[in-house]
Amino acid sequence: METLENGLDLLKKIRRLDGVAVVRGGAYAYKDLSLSDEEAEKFRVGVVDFFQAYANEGRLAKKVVIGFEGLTLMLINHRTIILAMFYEDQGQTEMVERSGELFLDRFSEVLDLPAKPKEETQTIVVPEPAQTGLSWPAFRLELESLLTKVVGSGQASAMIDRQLADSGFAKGQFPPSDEFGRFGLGVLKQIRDRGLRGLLNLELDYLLKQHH
Amino acid sequence: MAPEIKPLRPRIIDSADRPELTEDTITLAERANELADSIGKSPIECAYLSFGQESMAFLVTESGNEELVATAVGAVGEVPPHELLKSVR
Repeated sequence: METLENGLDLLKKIRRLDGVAVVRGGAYAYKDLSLSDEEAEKFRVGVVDFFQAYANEGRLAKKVVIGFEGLTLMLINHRTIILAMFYEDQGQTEMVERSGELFLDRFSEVLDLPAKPKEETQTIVVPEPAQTGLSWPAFRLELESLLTKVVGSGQASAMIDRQLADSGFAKGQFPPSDEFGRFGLGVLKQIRDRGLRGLLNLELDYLLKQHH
Repeated sequence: MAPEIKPLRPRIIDSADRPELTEDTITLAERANELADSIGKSPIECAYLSFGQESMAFLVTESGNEELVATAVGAVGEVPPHELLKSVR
């Protein structure tokens, strides 16, 4: 079974979060925050008080985003836990939210959360074939950048070359732009860790949508 | 059915006059600022809150000791934060 720490490390790395924490039953189950111990303790109390204040009014606050100067905080209240994620770019809110929810789905067992009904579980996003505004060099660069979140740059490049060869492309050839999504998925399949692959699939989907 | 995004009544919120419809916004602003205070990050610039059946967001356009000026929107249903925050910018 994967550990909560591994999952949160992964989440932080993939999303390049500034900080991540899980509060469970009012106490930290995990924290990796750029805060002093004293600040982290005040933050924990603040988070618990925030949700408790709404609960006292009979309202269940489920998701919160607070923007500060140069920093954004997202809190997801999921049954017995609160997932806190700090990030710099507020433009990444959609991806941070999706990654947080994916994390909660993936670690339901570790977090002792009831699993979602199977039909509601959706962890892999398959990009639809679509003409993108990206050229091959630009797409390759973006894909390499995505892969370097989890592997070295040399390995990232080698993974793309391997997929090109496996797809039957001779040296200097590359897929048409409406095949970039399918090709990218093929590259990501080389990543063994399913959770990691799921997060990168989300990123790939987002990347293609941005350039559609 | 797609959630409906609609502006909350007043665009200007101040501490002396708290119309009922802006109560949620003021409450969220106060609680979010308290949380921000705990890590030395107040005042906040914007906030979003979802209860599942309804959601809301606001953008602070001006804040001082006695008043908070914000643009706020509310929505029926759970509208994702990026969408509601975008709608107040």
